[in-house]
Amino acid sequence: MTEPTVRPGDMHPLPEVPGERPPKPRPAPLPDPESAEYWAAARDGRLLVQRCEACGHHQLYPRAVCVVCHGPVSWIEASGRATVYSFTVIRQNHSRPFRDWMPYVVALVDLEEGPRIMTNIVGCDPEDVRVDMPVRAARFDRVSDEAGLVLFAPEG
Amino acid sequence: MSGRRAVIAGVATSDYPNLPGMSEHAVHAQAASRALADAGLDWSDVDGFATTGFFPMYAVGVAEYLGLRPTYFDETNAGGASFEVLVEHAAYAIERGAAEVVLVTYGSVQLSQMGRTLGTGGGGGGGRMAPGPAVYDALWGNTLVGSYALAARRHMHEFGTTTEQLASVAVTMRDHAAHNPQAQYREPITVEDVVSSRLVADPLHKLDCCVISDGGGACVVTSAERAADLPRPPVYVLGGAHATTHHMNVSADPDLTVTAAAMSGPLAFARAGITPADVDVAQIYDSFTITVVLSVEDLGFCAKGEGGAFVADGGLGLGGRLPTNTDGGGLSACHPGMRGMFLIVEAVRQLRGEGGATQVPDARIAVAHGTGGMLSTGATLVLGREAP
Amino acid sequence: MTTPGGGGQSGRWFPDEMPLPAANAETAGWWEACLSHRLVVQRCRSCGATRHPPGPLCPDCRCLESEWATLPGTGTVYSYTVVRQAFLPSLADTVPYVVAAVEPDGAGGARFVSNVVECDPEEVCVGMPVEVVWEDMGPELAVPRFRPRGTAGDEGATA
Repeated sequence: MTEPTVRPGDMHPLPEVPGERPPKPRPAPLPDPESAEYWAAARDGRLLVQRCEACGHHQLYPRAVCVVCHGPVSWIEASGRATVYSFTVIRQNHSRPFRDWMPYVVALVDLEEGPRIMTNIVGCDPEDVRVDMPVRAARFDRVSDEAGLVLFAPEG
Repeated sequence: MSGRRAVIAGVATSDYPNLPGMSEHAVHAQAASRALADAGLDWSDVDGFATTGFFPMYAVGVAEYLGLRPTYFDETNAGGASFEVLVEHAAYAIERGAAEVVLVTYGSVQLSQMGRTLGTGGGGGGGRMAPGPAVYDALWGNTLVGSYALAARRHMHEFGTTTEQLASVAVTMRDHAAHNPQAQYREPITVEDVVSSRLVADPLHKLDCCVISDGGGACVVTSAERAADLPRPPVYVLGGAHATTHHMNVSADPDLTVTAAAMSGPLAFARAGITPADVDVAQIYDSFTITVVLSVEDLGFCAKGEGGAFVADGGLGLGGRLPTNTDGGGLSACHPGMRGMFLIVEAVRQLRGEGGATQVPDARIAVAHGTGGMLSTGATLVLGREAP
Repeated sequence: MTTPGGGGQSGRWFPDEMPLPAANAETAGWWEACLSHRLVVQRCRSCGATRHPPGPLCPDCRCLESEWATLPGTGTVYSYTVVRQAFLPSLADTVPYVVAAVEPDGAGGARFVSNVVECDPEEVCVGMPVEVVWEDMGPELAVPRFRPRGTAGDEGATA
């Protein structure tokens, strides 16, 4: 077998990270009128989804109207139960703080109520994550005064 | 439809893949000059202009730079698929009589300017993220490669596609690139090389990912009657279509194993009056190996779920069922960010019989299919050697 | 009288906080000439057409070969405006000032956007004869501005 070829990126190596740097915080979303309640609930440890008052469709991300019938929407609390639709283990990301976490799992999970959201799977080895694995909202990380992020872990 | 038929009268690529001394605009200029020369036309013949880039009013800015004052212009941005859309639109303008000669250009110096970081699309460490849909995917440390990896994982799960099958796409592209003296990488690779290269975002390895290049291209769209006394054999725009499923959030894509090609492909083929079986050669956007597997399924060259077997059985190779990316593709030859223009240039060259060592014998119908964003857009262009 | 390439003495008319322009490979030649207080315009080697701002491609004949032609440093005001609102806080003491499109003599119709300084903004008019005067904004950067010709500082121009 031949050696893997040099890629263009290899010609532009990034400078080494200096040894002692303060940890960079996880990025936080800036709330807007459509999302403020969603982020605030996650800050307080609750996962919300939007439910259409006209047709009953559940949706995320938050929108001003139902994506199916364009009727009015309101918030309900989700059960937190979900299954993994797909996932990847990120092994290359130059942005902090993510590069300090590698390898980490980025996953799309399907909430029991229907919406699919992106999240991280925590509480297990990245190698143990599987498609269709049952997961639950296990951790709510407060990232600012206004917002929290929901992270999932294997069920049970 | 009126009697006017749109044709591509000239094509060119700029120098590539490494242009440290050139600006992005200069790449447009070089490719445009060559495409006009190829078409046997002069700058003064151009009354329409199309390109796209990352800034608003981009086409207007490049037109100014090139000294053009077009009365038709277009900068529809469908990411990497943009140039298939721009040529489809240009064809409508020609057929409607809204333009006589539309110059479509692309230029990028992504490699020289940005180096490696664009490739994984690291995105957003620290700080506050502006509100809007993109934030819901961006908060989790996902990357550009990660978005395609999520699609690959799901495809493997649903259809049993293997990493080796994905790797075979990269191997075939490299085989083709060996015949392209300009290609960024030409040394042969094996499936074992691909699957043993570094994992970037499971299940995608480094060699499942496109190269990062400088470069550009251009084509000249005009009417068949205008092309009649031009030096090159005209290539007919038989049909085109484009579609989108979501923007940058893969969480908003209802099915990661089906792309916009499932909409744009059948529409384009119907508009061209052909079926997938009529296609002699294909140029299919290969940002990642999975992109090609999804595209050959969605365009109807094989059934959904059979793309892995299709590519692993040599389907994309010369002499295969669908010779694809005869220039070596974005995986080996050149990928400056929005590769769609290269697909058109190579498709035209194949239909003119200028494919050299990778010429598909008697190629009469070619497809150029672009994919843009995070598997967000698809644009299919059907080109033919003969008038419909 | 002005010396070839422009002869006005260096002065300072704009505050240090002004954002500085950045050169690239296509524009470096123009800024290098400025640094030695030479006013130049880019001229196509093939058709002789001039252009500004600098770029690699002649918009008339699309030739990629060009040269820097030295100008006498005189010109006329093609059009102008008086800026009366400070878009940067540091410009509060500079307003009102004149932004002008100047047609340098010998530039073949190419126009430089610059300032007309050393006069009352109210005195500026279209067609006004001007001459270049250089502002050294740092060891690496000089910027051409213009002042009325035949009024202030002829003695400086001949120095």
